[in-house]
Amino acid sequence: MAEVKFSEDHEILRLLRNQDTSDKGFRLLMGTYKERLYYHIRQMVGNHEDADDVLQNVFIKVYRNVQNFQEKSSLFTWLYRIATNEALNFLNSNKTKQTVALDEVAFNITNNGSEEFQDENEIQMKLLQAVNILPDKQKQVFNLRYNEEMSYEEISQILETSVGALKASYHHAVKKIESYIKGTI
Amino acid sequence: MKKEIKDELKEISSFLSEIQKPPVPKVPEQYFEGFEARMMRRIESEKSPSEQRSKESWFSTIFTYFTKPAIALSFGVLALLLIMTKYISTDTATRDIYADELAQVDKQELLSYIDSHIDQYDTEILLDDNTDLIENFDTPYPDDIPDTL
Repeated sequence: MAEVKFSEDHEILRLLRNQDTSDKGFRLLMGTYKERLYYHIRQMVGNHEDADDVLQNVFIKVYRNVQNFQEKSSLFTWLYRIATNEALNFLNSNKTKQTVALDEVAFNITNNGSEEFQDENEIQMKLLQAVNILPDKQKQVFNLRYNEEMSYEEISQILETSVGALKASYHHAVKKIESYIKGTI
Repeated sequence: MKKEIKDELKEISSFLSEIQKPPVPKVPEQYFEGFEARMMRRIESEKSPSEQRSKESWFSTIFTYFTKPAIALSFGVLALLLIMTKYISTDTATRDIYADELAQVDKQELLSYIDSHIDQYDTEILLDDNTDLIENFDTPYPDDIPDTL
């Protein structure tokens, strides 16, 4: 995924803080971050409809509170933090949907290729199942590091956790996933 | 995958580092294309009436108020009171100026003016309203009073 330059965030904030250009700034913000945030949320909630709902709620909250953003962290980090919290709140209020979400992802994988890829697809499905049963914190750390390829410093700002603790969480998550896959194939 | 992350994964689990990452989940066609426009419509529709009013011009807001008879009447009365207050304060100021000018007139000058225009004054006014002026008249000496009186 493409890195967002600091100058782009600066321009977004400049437009947002002027009442005459705030809508233009908000459109630029959505255009810059909608895909990254969507996939981040989608990994957490599992299906498109829920990801769309959560993403829209995230942007509504951002629109209403962007004037309070004090740049103590980067815009990117702030947005990810809001998206992560919204997705977690959604999951907490819809616990039963998590199984459905995994089924949908699994369906996409098993219908993804010809027979020669079946073994690979099966392992990928096991990987997703393993991620899905991880504790929440380990799941978040694994997704941000493995899928979104973020640095520990970025993850640290989003999850407000020390880099050392994140490294330990990632290590445990990888070991658990490996153990799950090896134990089920 | 970034080299740094790949190397780290290999170090923790060489088995997992060999597995291809699951594909990016599918998204409905055109989902991202119309996203901004959909969001802006939703934001507009969720704005409270007061937020929407604040975006209207101040002139149209004031004009709307004046279309209500009670408010228009109240404003009219208020305007009338303001004009009257202004008139009264101007009149008082004018009277103050006259009083100042009168105070600067020499007493002898004033008395000679009254003497020469005595026929224009009503006696009652001279007695009642200008007592201080009358008091300042020198009391005539008995010798000045004609015997005939």
